[in-house]
Amino acid sequence: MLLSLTVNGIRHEIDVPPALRLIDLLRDELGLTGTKEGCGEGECGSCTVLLDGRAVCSCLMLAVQARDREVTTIEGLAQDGDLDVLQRMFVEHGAVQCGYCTPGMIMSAKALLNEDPHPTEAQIRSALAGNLCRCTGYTTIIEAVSAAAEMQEAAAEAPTPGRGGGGGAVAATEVRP
Amino acid sequence: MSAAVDRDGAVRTDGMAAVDGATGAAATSSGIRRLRLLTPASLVELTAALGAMTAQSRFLAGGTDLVRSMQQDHWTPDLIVDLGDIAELRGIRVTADDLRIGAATTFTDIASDPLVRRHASCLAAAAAVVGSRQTRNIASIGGNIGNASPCGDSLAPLLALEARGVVLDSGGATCERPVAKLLAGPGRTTLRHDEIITELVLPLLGDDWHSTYAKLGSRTMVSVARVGMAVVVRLDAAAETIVEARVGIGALGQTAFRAEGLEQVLTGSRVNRSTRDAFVAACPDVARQSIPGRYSLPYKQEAIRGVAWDAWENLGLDSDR
Repeated sequence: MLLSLTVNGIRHEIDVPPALRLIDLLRDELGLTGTKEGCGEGECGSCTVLLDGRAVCSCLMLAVQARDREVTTIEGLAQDGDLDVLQRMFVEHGAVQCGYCTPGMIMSAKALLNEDPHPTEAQIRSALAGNLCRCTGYTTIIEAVSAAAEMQEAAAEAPTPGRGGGGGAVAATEVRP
Repeated sequence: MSAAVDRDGAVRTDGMAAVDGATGAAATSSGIRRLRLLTPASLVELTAALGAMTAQSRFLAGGTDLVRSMQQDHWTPDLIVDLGDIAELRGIRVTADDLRIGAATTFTDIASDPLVRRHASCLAAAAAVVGSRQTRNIASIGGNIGNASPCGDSLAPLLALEARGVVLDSGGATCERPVAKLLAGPGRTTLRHDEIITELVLPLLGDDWHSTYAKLGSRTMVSVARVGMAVVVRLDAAAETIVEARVGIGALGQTAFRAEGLEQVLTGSRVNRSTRDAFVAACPDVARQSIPGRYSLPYKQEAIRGVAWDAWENLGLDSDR
């Protein structure tokens, strides 16, 4: 069927088979390979994307469910080459090791900060409970999300909010396990 | 585009398997099945779509169970009716007698809804512990019933709240059936393939009612229930005696059920520690009756005691007695 959807701000009209999953549309048809497939059953969260701002597992959805809706993937976070504050904080806090869980982890954190800019640690843990990481032990990830929330707050209070030029190009890096 | 599909939309299920490189699933050669997709935009259009359904057809609400099943079992329905465009299936409202929840309403919306929290707090509590945030953001309460998993978190609360499902059929007729009569067994409901639950109807309970949901899983979050328990009680005017009690139990047998033995222990009892202890002590019998001889019985008859204790504490009735 002809599917209309917006991905990272770009409108797409694309003919898809009805059984195609959203993750397969993103990765195989649109080339957005930042979104990873891990377990394929909603346990690990590595396929997390935002659907109209809410975190969802793109491996548990058909592409057609995203019709006329807005999908945001990890590739949609950096603006004009500047990494999102969450991406920068993940890099700075060493919250990225093998990197396979990172896009999903960051998208879950993004949904949380959009909903609640000042989350408690318990709220961060709850929002990330559906994202598994086998490398970091989570401590640095929680720290990175807390730091991003603080930086956002500081930027919002500053008269002329500026973005630092980020470090590594997390968004554009294809990482294999 | 995808090599898994021929020109007129037929889906090769072996092609689906081949897509799934990340899980290492082996390709199967189960041949070609044609998948049709319908996207009705209203209940009227849904009624027409129901007429096209067979036993091999499926509804798509959140898709968290259906899509996984298609992927892992290398299985494709003949028809998917996607409910995403039907606004009437979503939303929560209160009428004079009932709390009404659209069947495609997500668990995120149910868990955070002030009406549900006020009138059906055990359901709000259960909705908040379904799967992960990602799952709750898209999975629906109607799907939880339709899938009839023995450990579906919403089922025990719905039974204890004596909820009814509004069922629409392909002739356009609607009727209400108790959720208890919709559940037939693991993965089975009493719904015909041309019937769908459009709404859940929860009779409003007064302010003298209290309810809670307690769950034990293998971890604290993102967990499938090993035992789930919804407790709904009505207190007398002095809030000293339980005049009515309903206990729904999930993940302990073929399907969620009401535990009448536990209800009898609570009904007419004073709100105090000895009632709590009697309630907890009566639990292993419920497990023995529900899953006699099951390998998990020794675990579950202990686990249910802890869940009952948690449920009682969550109710917060006897903190100073």
